Amino acid sequence: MCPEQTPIVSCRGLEKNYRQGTIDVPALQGVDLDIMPGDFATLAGPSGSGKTTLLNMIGGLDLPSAGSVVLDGETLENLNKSQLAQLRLDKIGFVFQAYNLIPVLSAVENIEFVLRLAGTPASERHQRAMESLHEVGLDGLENRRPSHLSGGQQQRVAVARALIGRPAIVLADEPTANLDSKTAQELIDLMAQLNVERGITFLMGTHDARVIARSRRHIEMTDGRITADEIRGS
Amino acid sequence: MLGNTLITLDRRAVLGGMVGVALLASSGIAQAADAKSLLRAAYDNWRSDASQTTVKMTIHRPSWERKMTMISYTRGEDDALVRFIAPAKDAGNATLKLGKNTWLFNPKLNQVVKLPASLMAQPWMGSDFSYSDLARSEDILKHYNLTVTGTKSSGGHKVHVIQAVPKRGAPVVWGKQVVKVRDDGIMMELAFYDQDMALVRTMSTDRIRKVAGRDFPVVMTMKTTAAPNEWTRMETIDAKFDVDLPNYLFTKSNLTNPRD
Amino acid sequence: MMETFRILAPLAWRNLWRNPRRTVITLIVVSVGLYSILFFAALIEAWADASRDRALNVMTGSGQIHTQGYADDPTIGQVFPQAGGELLAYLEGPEISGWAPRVRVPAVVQSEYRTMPLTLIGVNPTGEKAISIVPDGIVEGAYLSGPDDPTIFLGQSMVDRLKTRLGKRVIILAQNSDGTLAEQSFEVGGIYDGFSEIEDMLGFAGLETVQTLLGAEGQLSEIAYRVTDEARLDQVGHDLGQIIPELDVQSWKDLSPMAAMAEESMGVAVFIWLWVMFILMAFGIINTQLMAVFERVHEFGLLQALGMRPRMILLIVTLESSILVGIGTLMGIAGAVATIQAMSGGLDISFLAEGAAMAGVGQVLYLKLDWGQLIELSIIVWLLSVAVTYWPARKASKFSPVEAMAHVS
Repeated sequence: MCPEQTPIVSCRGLEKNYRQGTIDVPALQGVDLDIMPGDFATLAGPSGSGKTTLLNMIGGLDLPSAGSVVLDGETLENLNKSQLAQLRLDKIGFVFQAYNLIPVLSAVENIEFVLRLAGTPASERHQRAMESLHEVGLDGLENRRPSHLSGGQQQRVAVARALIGRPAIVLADEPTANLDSKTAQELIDLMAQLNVERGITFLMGTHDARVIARSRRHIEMTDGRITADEIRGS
Repeated sequence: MLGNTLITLDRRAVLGGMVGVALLASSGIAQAADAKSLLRAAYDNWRSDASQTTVKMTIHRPSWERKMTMISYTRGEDDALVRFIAPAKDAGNATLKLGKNTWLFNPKLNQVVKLPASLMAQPWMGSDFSYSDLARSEDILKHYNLTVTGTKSSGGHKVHVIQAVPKRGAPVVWGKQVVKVRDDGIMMELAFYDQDMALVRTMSTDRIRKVAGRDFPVVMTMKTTAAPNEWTRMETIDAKFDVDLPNYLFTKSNLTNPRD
Repeated sequence: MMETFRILAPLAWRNLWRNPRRTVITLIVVSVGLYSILFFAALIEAWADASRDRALNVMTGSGQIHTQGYADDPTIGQVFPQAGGELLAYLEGPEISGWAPRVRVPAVVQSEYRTMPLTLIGVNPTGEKAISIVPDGIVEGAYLSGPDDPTIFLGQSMVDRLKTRLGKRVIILAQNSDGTLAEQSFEVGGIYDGFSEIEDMLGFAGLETVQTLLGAEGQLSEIAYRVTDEARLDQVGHDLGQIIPELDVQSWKDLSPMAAMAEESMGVAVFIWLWVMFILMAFGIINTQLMAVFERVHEFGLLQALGMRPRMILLIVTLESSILVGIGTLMGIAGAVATIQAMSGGLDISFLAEGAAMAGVGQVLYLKLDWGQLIELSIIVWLLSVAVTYWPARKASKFSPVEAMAHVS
């Protein structure tokens, strides 16, 4: 971690309470976190520790009860729903646990869809999408619908789509949860490779030991607080 | 049509066939053999006479009966005035016929109404006679071919049976009429037949009595074949013949404001 | 906007076929609903036409000429000279397809048994056959042979009430032009039936016969005419008004205000039916579209996470509905057009004969394709249907992405 660098994500005093019936359940209880450019970080913790909530806060999918999130210079709590959508489109790539893809669109259309939303010219769109499919090793599968792709292939498409908009950060929530060991390993390899070769910043919520083993920064959460933040060489 | 025939027999009784029929009694019909002469004789005999009669009319229906009294004046063949004098609720109602036109006067409305063609079908004062029965002035001599079909003896008189069949194109509805006339000119029966020659209605003389020195059919009844329990009876209470009737009697103003 | 449409259209189109069963149900609801609206509209239009034509074909024609005072006093006093000169030329001209001169007076008809009021009409059989269907209603005997025919043509119920019959004599009494009573014996030469509108209260005799009877030789109380082109009805009325300013020219709209009103009320009936059907359709559409939205909650979350704005979610669902309803609308139109075309030869409703006769309609309805009305109704239904899908669409756009993503169906 180089002190002169500006963090891509900067969380300060983040708190989030969910209301369940009449009581407030605290999901985050004061989180301070900086993610630096080029981080390949994992975020782990037991179920209910708040890691998914934190990822949602950083991704602008949900707003904190207190505290602030600054993402690539934008203070998220100042933005309205439309602006948040635009921010996600421009700066964040998401890879979710499952059902990542729009079922009625083919692999390449799923990737292109993000570019369409961003207003990328048609001429550029298809080529970039094809390139990105090539990058994630799915040559020849571009016209398949998600239902005709394996779980691993679907997650690769999700990764390709996450990257296509040249985001500041890729947020992944349990990306390997539904994959068999070999496929999971291949997906981790792919993301690690993209991190190294293209300098993409990854923040992955996971409790998959194989993923954690490959990360260069590991953050542990318990009861809505960060309990460990360990930077490791790869 | 009833009036039609009656008028033929006695032109003074233009209005109210029953009144006219009453007058037949006094006509001395010649013993002419042919039907036309029989009826013509009666017609000529009474052509210019004037009469004043008081008649009680009984309208009989299965569930009710109504009696009215009227005074009838006739002059010549076309003019007649009938004024009801009883019962109170009908008293003052009057009908005036001058030539082909008929006017009605209702004292309650205090109004004279000329009888429109559409009302010709209405029963006259609720009786079995309609206005058209009364108002028609064409005569049986003009529209019918007449033949004597038989002669019978009855109570010392001869009664001629005359069959009247409409001439071609004549404006009459009947298939035929059968008239029974006594040799002294009293009409005994008048029967109307439809075009299928079925009897539709009959007027008959029920009683003959001397009035003003002459034999007179004082009770006559009109019956409709289809409704045997319904009839209208005319009973002559008083009759004066060859009376001198003032001209004002047969005017519309007299209809409204009777001077007598 | 165009770009948004390009993004959304393929997505919307493909989404429609994710659940073919539901899509087909919606299509059936919309197409059958619209079909019934369009078919009903055509049917009721045909009914209205039939009843109007019938009303006008009996006696009225497209219009009539009378003296100015005839309406207040329809008697023999209100007559005008038989058509000649410029009027005759116009009536024989291209604007008029048929005309009938008439003497028309209130009269009394007498049989041995009854005396009934009657409207006596002296007619020229040739003219009458050109504009009226009464001569076709003959059930016994023959129609008048000419203007000097001495017989009378009576309605069946009048004949029954008079207890007379074909070949028998009846007496007609009517007011003469000099105010006295005219009377004449007529043989019943023909009997018509089936015109409840005129309640068989009209008696027809030869024009000249009636003119002679009433002492009105060469005089008419009415000329009924039929225009060649209904669209030029008002123009013809105007033209005639110029030619005969002293007479009163009226179109059927003035003469038969009931027929004119019936025509309007038919339009109202179509819209009432439209709303009834539409409310049924709306339930079906909202139901299926809500199902479609709830099945895809997760997906709407995903789309938002990927950076799609809520407004676009609303758009996409609305677009899906528009396409779906649009297809249903086209199917409904196709079905209705096919049915109407197939029935354009005439729809026999004689199985409803009694009811139809009561409503004054013949036994065959002629369905016509009215493209203007068809498109108008279709667009209304389409727009309304799209409008009701705003509710499900709005629901879809209101899901928060986090909750939506947590919703795995």
